[in-house]
Amino acid sequence: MSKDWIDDKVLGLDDEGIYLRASQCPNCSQICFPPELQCNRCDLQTELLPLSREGVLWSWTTQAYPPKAPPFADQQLIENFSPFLLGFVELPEGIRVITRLQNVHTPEIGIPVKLTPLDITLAPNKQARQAFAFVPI
Amino acid sequence: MAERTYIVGIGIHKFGRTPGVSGIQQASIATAAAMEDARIQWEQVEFAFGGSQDAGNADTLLKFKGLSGIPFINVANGCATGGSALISAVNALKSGMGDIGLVTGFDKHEHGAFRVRLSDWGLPDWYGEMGFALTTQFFAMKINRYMHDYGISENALVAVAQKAFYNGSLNPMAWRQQAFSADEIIASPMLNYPLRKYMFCSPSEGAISLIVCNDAGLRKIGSRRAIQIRGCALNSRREGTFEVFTTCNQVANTAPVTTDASRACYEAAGIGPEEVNIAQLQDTESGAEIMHMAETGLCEHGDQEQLILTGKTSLTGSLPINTDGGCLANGEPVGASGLRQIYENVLQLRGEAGKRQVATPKMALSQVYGAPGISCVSLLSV
Ligand SMILES: [Zn+2]
Repeated sequence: MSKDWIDDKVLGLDDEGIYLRASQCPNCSQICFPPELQCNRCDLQTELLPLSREGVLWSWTTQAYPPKAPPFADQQLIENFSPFLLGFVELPEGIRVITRLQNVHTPEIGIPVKLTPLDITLAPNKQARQAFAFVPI
Repeated sequence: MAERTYIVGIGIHKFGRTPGVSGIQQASIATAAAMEDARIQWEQVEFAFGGSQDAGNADTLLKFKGLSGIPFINVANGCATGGSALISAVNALKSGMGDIGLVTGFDKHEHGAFRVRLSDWGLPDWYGEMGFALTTQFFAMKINRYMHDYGISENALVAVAQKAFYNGSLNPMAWRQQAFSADEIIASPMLNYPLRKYMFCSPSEGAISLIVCNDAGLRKIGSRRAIQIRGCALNSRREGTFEVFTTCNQVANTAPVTTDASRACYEAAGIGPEEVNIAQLQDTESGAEIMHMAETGLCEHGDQEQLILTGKTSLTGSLPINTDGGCLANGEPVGASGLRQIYENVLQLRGEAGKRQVATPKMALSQVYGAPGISCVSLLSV
């Protein structure tokens, strides 16, 4: 994989492709995405937890106009904006995570979705970095 | 019995856009109006709390009003800045810091959506880079899920916006004083599904000042028409709730922060939601008003559709909501927005709301929600 992650705290890679990185407390099992070093309940050091790649869509919306840049930094969308979708996906670990949504126009709440890579170019003439999205299964 | 506290003077600088008048000047104008309303002189003000998000330190008011040496505390708490200033002033009155105080909130924002500094909110860079740093997306996703769970239709979203702009058309201090038809609202562009352009408020400008006092202050002033502050509560989010500016949340059945703040406020006031006659609720977009109706206990989840579509929340209904046009018609000058709700409730309780006066309300509720998951609820009574 030649591309850089958008943030190497957030994404990981194994034989099946990319996954989202979370933290889990060894005592109370609280999960945080992206990972936190310490559990805010127990004050203990957390362990790394790769999140499931499949979940269900909890809710979603559209972004019809360009967000202010910065902090928005997706160069392709800044130069040639087309609306995008985002949502929260509920994962089997008991956590909902924010994500972009791809390959879908008006999704039904509750549909099964899976993780997929999403290229984002953060600066003009720079190589794309890898972010993430979910797509309907 | 705990000491009683009152609002004895209110002042406003018109909301909207006022080129050439700074935020602090607007606060100065609102403060002069509040002092005149309370019939007091600046020398009688014993302390002050105030703030803005983007328009400078409230303490700068001393330059305009007089360097009297009073404790003047700047408050910064996002959308709850006004509410936080009021709570602080109430506690100052109760603790003996003084008998007469000033509360002021004002703002003046650049055009367009609020720009977000991610580090202020403890958010990672990728959150903004991927396009998530917009509060409107949160409200859209929350109402989308809520409509799915409780059977609320797009008609309710349209009706809330229509009511807001109609009420704004009766309010000479509102930014937008033009009513829209349901057809015009539904024809406006979809910005964040299911929310359309005319269902959103925009950042704007404006200022509100209040003169508050305790019983000793009331005797000093000799006011004839004090409005009592029955309760004022501010809460922050608990784990497991769905909040603005977050990357994740735990799946749990935790009560939303507005419900926590509402319960605390009802308890302080010693009343229940059934005693509320009028309410000003955070309506940064029309979905928020719908959800906050139930979160404040004013109705059950899912009952909003019927209440709204049968006019119960209009000026002539049994529970008028956002009688001054709310954020939709007034815009959102962050520092002033929460105090605008208080200003409107005082006007209504006094019977001085002009064309938008509702029939003799006795108990008025106001509620603010803001990033990153704080809620402030107040109860006022005649
Ligand atoms: Zn723990």
